Amino acid sequence: MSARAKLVEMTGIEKSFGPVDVLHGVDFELYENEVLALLGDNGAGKSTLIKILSGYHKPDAGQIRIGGKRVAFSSPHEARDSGIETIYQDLALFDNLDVAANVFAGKEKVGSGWRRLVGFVDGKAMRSEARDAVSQMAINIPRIDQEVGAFSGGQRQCVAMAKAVIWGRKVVIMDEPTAALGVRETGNVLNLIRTLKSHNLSVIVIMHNIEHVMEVAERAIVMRSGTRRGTIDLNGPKDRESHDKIIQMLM
Amino acid sequence: MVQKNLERLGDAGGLDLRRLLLSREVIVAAMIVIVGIAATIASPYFLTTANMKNVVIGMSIEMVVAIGLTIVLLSGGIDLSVGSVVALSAVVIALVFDAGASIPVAILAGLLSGLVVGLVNGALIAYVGLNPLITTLGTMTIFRSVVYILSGGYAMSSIPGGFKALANDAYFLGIPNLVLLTIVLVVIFHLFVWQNVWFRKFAFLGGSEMAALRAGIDIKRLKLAGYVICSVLAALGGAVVLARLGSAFPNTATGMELRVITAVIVGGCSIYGGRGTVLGSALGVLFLALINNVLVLNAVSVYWQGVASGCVLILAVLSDAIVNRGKRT
Repeated sequence: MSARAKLVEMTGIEKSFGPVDVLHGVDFELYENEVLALLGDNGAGKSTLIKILSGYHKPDAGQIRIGGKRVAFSSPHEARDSGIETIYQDLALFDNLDVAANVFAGKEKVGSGWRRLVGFVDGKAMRSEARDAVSQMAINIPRIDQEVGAFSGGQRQCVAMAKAVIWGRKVVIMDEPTAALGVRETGNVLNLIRTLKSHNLSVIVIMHNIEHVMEVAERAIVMRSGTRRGTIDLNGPKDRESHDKIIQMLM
Repeated sequence: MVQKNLERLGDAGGLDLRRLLLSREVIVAAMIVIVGIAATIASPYFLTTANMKNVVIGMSIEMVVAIGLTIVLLSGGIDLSVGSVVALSAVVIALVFDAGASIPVAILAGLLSGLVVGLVNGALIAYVGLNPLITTLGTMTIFRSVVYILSGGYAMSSIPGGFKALANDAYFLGIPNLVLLTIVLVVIFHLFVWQNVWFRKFAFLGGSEMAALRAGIDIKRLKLAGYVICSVLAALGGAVVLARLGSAFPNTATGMELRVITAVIVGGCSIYGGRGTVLGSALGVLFLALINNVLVLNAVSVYWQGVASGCVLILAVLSDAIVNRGKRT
C-alpha cells in the first residue's frame, strides 16, 4: 500500500467552531486510484474534515497537499479546480434540465463560427460527450435528452458522477451516497463507485453501513470525537477480520 | 456492459417525436389553428386584413411584456410591476416631450425609468432576499401611484407626430412597425434564451438555486439582471403604447401584469421556475388575444373575456397535471 503515491495528504488538521473543538490534529491520506471509506459516529468530525478538503471550511491549523503540492482553498471552486469534486447528498442536480445540461452546468460549451459570435451553445457536442460519459457508467440512462427529474436515485447519482469524469477530476468525495436508496439502487451505486475507480479516480465515501463499506472500499479511516482512531486495509466483503476491527474502532 | 448501454441510449441527436408533439408550443399552436378555423366558420369578419391587424396590433405590447416575464418566471421569480412600468414609461416619455426633448432622448428616458424599477426590484429580491411576489406587489403599487403623481391624473397628449409614426408606419411588407418590432424581439429573445450561454443560466437558476450556486453561477447578479431585462422590456412596451395611442393615460396597462402572467403560463411557463420558452409565451398571448377577438366578433359581452381567459388558464394547468401524472417531479 505504501508503494502507491499519496494523492491527498492532510496533516495536523485542527478546526473549531467557536468554543466547540471539532478536529484535534487529524491526519488524513488518500492514495491514487483508491476507494477510501471515512467512518465514524455522528459528531466524529468526518463532515468537517471533508468540508475542509472541498474548500467549504478553512482549517485553523494543519496542511493540505495535493499531489505533493501544498494548497489552501478559500472557496469550493478552488478545490474543484484542483481536481476535487464533491457529490452532495442532494446531488445538486437541475431536475428541469437534461443530462447534458446537468453535466455541463455553469460551463457550457460554446459552438464555433457564427455560434461563437452570439454565444450559442454547442448542444450536439455536449450531448455526445455527456452520452459517452454516462454510457461508461455501470447504470442505464434511458435518454440523454431527458430531464433528470424523471430519473431514479441511482441514475441521478450516475449523472452527478459523470460530471466528475467529464471534468477530469482526480478525487470524488461522496457524502452518504447510499443513504436514501433501496437494495437494488444501492447495488447500482456501489457499481458506479467501482466505475469511478476504473477511470483512475480516487473516491472518498462517507458511509454508515459497514456492509456497503466492505463491498466497495479498499481502505477505511475511522474517526472518533475529532481524532483519527486508525486505518484498516479491507479485502472484500468476506474479510471478517477487518470488519470486526472497524467495529472495535467505532466502539 | 458498455456496448449495451450505448445501444440503449439511442441517438443523442434524434428527436423524441412524442415529446415534441406534447410540448406546450405545439399544443398551443394547434389550439390557435383550431380556434382560427372555428372563428373563420363562425364569423365572416374574422379572417379579414382589418381584423387580423387589430388582433396583432392589440396584442403586440403584451407580447413584449411577456418576453421579460418569461425570463423572470424561468429564473424562479415573478414580476407584478410590469403593468405599472408600462404606464410609468409612457408618462415619463410624454413629460420629456413636454419639456421639448427629441425623440431619441424621450425614448431613452422611458427606458431609463424601466431600468430604475428593474434595479429596485432586483436589488430587493436578489441582494436583500425579499419575496418576489411581495416586492413587486409593492413596486407595482408605488409606481402606479408615481404615474398619477407625475401626470396629475390627466391624459398627456402632446406627442410629436414623428414619434407616433415610428410605431404606426409600415416600412416592411405593410406590417406596422410595432408588430415588426414585437416579432423581431420574440425571435431574438427566443433564440437567446434557448441557446445563448448566458441566457440559459436563467433556466439553471430556476431549476435549483443551490445547484446553480454550486455550478459557479453568480445567482444574485443573474436574478437582478432578469428583473432589469423584464422592466426595460416593459418600458419599451410603454413607449410603444404611447406612440400607438398618441396619449399617455395614467391608467394605461392596469391589470396587464395578470393578463400577461395568465398568457405565459398558458404558453408553458412554470410558476415555480425553470420551465418556459419565449416562443411558447408569445403563442400564449396570441391564443388569448384570438379568443377575446372571437368573443367580440360574435357579439359576446366583453365581460365574458375574463371567464374565457380564466378557463383557458385552468385547462392548461389541468392538462399539464394529466400529462405529467405518474412522472417524478
